[in-house]
Amino acid sequence: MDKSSFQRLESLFHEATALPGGARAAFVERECAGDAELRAALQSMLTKTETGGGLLEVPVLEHLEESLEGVRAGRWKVGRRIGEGGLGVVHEAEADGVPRAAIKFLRPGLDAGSFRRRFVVERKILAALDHPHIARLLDGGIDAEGRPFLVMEYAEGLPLDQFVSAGTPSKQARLLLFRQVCQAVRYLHASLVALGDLKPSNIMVNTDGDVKLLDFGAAKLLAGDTAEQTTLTRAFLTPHYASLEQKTGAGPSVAWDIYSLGLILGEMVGADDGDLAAIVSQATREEAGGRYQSASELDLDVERAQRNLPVHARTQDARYRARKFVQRNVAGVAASSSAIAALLTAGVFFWRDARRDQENLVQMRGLVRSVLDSAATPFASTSEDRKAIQGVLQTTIAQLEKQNHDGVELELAAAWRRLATSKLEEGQAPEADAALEKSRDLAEKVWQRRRDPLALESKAITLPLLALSMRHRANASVGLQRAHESIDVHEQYKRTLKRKLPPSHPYYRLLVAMAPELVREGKIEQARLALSDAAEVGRAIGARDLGGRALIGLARLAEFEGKPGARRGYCAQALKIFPQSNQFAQVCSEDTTQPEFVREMAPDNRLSELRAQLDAVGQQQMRDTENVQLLLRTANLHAQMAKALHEKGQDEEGKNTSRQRTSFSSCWRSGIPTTGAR
Amino acid sequence: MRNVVVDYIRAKTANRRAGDWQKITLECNSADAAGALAFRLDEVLDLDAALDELAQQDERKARVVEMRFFGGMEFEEVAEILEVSVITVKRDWSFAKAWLGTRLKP
Repeated sequence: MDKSSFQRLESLFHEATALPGGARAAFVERECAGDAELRAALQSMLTKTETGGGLLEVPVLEHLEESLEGVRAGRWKVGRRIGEGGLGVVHEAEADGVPRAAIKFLRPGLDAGSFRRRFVVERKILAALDHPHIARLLDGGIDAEGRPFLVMEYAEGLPLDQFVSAGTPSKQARLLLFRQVCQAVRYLHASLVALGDLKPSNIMVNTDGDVKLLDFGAAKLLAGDTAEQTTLTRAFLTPHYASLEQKTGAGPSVAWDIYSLGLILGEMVGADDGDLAAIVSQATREEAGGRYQSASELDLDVERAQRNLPVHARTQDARYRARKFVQRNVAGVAASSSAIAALLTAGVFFWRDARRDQENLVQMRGLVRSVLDSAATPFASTSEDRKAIQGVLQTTIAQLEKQNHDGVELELAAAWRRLATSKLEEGQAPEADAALEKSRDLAEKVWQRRRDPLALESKAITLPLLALSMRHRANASVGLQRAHESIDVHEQYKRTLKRKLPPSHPYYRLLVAMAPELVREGKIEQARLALSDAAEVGRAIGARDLGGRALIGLARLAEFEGKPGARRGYCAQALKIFPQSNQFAQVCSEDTTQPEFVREMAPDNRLSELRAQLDAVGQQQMRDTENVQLLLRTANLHAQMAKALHEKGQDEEGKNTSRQRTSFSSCWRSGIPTTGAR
Repeated sequence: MRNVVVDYIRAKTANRRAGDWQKITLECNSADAAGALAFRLDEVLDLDAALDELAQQDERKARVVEMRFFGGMEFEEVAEILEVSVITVKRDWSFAKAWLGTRLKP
């Protein structure tokens, strides 16, 4: 069939399938009159479509899923399926003397060639291991059909993440669990094995609180590994728990596993505890050299946190950053700027000399990244420090821009972003905005040109900063536009990279702030999604302020939609998050949209408590010169509160509240703080 | 992925006598009325050949089938990779399914 008849066939096919079934035959007769070949082709395609079914309905790998249940593999009888991973399927199995074990087969379709060699490596690794927190290898071999298999000790219990969320063990208990994982990983590393794909779903916890590590599908021997295995492993990693250098494809190392351990710890304990947060941050540092050097170092630091001793991560962090800072400023700002300029020039020259040499590009990027990394030091607390850092960043930017080449635009975008952060700290918002716009434009350019997912990430990181910075100033409408862009880009980012911005990113604050705008524009569903997203993140990392504000937003949305039941539910959750009520009161008092809302929100039995907290907030505001304008809102809240108290027959308290209100509003009217103690 | 699967099936079928294809019965995951369906491994090899033929007429449609059938990808993912709309992918898919269906042995 030639091209034009193929195209004709296609358009007739679509036209015909758009018609009701009964009208198709006549359509075919009319359109194909005089062209028997076309008619036959179209007719049989339509029949095919109408009957449905067939090979293509289900993806091929699902076709190939032979049921392994009941099969015999060596001395093992295979039972029901209990799990699956990227490469393998796991079933229960039994044999004489072993009532229950777990048997693993390679996924059908993958049990050939390189995958099969990978499986053999897993068996070899497992055979050499013997540790109470690592599932033991019982047997392995090749069944009658030629399928290789592994038999492991059956691990009872729940995966770590489920165990933690289902049983809500105390912090001490969670730390004990985590330390068992650390000890297993330490043993593995001592046996020259890196796990490569450590994640909560592969860590089982039984009812006694004993941990067992399960899946070694991505594990590798630290010595004597082949490039092929690394490539295979990379294709099946779980991206969330994989470290940066792992995703970009560097060789296997202990540092990968430390990174995964850090993330797991972070998910287990949240971000409330400063010491633990410091430990998580040191374990998950982008630069492998900045992480804990071994699982036992990490384990020890967690033990110190457990016993309330000062953790190394905190002092280490300070030392680490101080060293970086000294390195950079050793000969003063001018010297360090020009040294960086020289380095960069040399790097760029080197790179341009050998344009196709990926390795040089990687080095160049590394160089820029280390400059950016050292520019992130929190030691830059004085304006002078910040000036120094800005100098370095501006030199970096100038050098990169002068060379005007591709390959390092994203690093340039990151440099602009860093500069903007520093400018924001200095209160130079317009300069910050300009820098952020530059950062965004660069990332956009790269995204348009080569659809690099990292460009999308860069955009997703920058846009919320820009939106938040612009929102409260003259160019609020541009800020709003950027906020919309932020949400769209983040959705695209989630779809493309299958992950979200980290919970600490200001994006989630932006979502909460954006919700009222979205409602105003009639985008109710978008607002709901934004708030739910923020509430979930807040809950996940224990960020009470974010979570609570998001819940109050959801309550307000329910109010808007006239769903009092849902509203009360959200309010109750918000109150639970803000147990002291004073944060709750603070949030309410900052809100101008619906002051009467607070009255509705507080359950009867907590009205007095909430009132007392509101009073405290108001007192604080009276002393605080910057917060004088909040006093009016607090006064309004008190008016509502008084009304509510009277309605509920608590007249005495109501009168007190009214009196309090008068003092707040007169303080606001005078515009002068009562004590000026600040 | 297409190569991995096709090589696998070639290797598997090479061991067996002609006409004595192994039949595999599967539980159909979708709510497909067909319920359990059986397919022969050589059907996939026929499909492989038909797919080359389709690629001659329309490269993109063949890519859509590769990603959907061999890669198990969703419409949205395919659309993103091919940089076309989801509707386009769905149209390509429904046409290609019918077109390829007429070329496979019943």
